[in-house]
Amino acid sequence: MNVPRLPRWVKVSGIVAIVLAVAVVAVLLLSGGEHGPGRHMSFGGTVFVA
Amino acid sequence: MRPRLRKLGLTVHVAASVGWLGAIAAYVALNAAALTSRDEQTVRAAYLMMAPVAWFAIVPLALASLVTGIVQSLGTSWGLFRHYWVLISLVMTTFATVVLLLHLADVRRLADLAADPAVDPTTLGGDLVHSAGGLAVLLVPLVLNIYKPRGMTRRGRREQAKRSG
Repeated sequence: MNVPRLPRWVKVSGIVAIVLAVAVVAVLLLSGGEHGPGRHMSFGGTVFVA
Repeated sequence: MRPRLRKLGLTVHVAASVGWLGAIAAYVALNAAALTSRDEQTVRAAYLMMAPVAWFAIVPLALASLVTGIVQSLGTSWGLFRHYWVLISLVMTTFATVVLLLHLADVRRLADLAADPAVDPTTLGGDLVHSAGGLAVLLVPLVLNIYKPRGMTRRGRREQAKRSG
């Protein structure tokens, strides 16, 4: 009996996961490696002290 | 696992998992308020509330969901490594829990900054991307747990072949 090695939905999900992971790493690298709350917004993580 | 115990375990697992999603939704709502409100006190209060929501709702529910999920799969015929949907759910839930625990220090720091009267809270920038991302990641195990798509791992196929002789 020919048993499929990997279901198609697993293959497609794997490819999507890899693409998303590469995109996240690329964004992190392009943003200069800085990561954390407030650094995804246009403020650039700058905190204004009165 | 006996049927009555299995049903109790499933009830606790579903309650913890859905509660986890709800707690993240509350965290997203606090972020929405922090990023859109023009009232400084509202923004400050939203940031201050993010830490207790994370510590006392999101974290306990995340750990409960992970532990009950493992117990549930090990105590039933699904197993932990036999089916792709269980395995992927385990990986995604573990990943989300680890990222959450690593992120807690940042949430605390954000709340501490908002608590400082010298800091303008409207410039903190929020934590929407992480919380919305977490919510999106957790929708994957939710869908997998409901639809239970076919597909056995190599280990699952081997065990099935051994059982059927």
